[in-house]
Amino acid sequence: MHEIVDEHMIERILGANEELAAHNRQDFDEDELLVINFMSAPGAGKTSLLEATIPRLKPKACGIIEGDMVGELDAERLRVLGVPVRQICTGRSCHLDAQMVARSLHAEPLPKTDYLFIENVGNLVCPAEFNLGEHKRVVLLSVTEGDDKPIKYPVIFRNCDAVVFTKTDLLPYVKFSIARCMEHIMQLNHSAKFFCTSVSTNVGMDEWIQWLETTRTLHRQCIAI
Amino acid sequence: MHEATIATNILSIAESRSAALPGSSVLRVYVRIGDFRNIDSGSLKFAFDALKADYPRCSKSELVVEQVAAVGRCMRQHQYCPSLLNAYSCSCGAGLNCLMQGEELEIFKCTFETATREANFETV
Repeated sequence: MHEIVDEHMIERILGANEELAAHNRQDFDEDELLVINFMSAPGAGKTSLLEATIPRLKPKACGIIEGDMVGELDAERLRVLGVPVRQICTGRSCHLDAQMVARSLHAEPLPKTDYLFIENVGNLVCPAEFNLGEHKRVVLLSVTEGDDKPIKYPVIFRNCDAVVFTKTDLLPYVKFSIARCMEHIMQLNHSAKFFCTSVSTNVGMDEWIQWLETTRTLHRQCIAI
Repeated sequence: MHEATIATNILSIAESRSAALPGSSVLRVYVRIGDFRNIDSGSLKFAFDALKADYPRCSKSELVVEQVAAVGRCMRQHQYCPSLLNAYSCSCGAGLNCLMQGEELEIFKCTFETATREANFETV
């Protein structure tokens, strides 16, 4: 005889990822490692910003996790900087998740570093849903993409700690208003920090580096308490 | 896209819940998806149906999606508004200072077919 049973519950569908992200965060804190998750559309300049950032952070040590669906092109660019780089090829997946990060670091642990930059798969949609255990989420938006992107992709901008406008040297040639874009973002996110950068002309890099260094100092103070 | 990951998670949860009921199989999984969770219901159902064969207890199950409309509190009007201009902006153009609903991503019910005696219970 068969019975039909209803079980009522509230179970977070991404609960398993959240738990693993919390474990990742705990491991990062034990190592006094500040972890930054870089997210953006493809081609917004994540790898280029890392190439410009890491030399400026010396002598602080940096590690990188590079997420791409296929290949190691960006990882190879970053290895030239002389920092440890771990490549995660996601295959069919359009985002990194906490398990991928945990597996990568477990399989091949990074040497002790001060910063870990996770360059997520280029995508303004899916990465927003998956916590990796990072301390800060940074979204890059290129001025060539359009200042309406925060309206079209609100979730990723709502849940980030900083927005870096990239390729600002191209502003004279595109119809992009930084002020308008910031206004869109501030409607979603009252606390995000903004940086206007160009790795070609070095504009805005000092402020960006200062934020990273201040964030790391504050992080170390927090975990020491 | 990531609907496949979400579907996998749903199936894993349903499978494990069914495993806790001896001799049971999953008939239906009910989920709430908020408007602002970047998840397309049609794609999610497609992924669910494509993947459920890998989960023995869920192989004949159905996914039921309850879409949750976004409701937020308008900064200008100081009241909850169901008609939002876009994510986190009221139709009057002002921002929202809180979102009451619209970000749900949860399973709220499973229906099992079991060969054991009926045992209704709730877990939260």
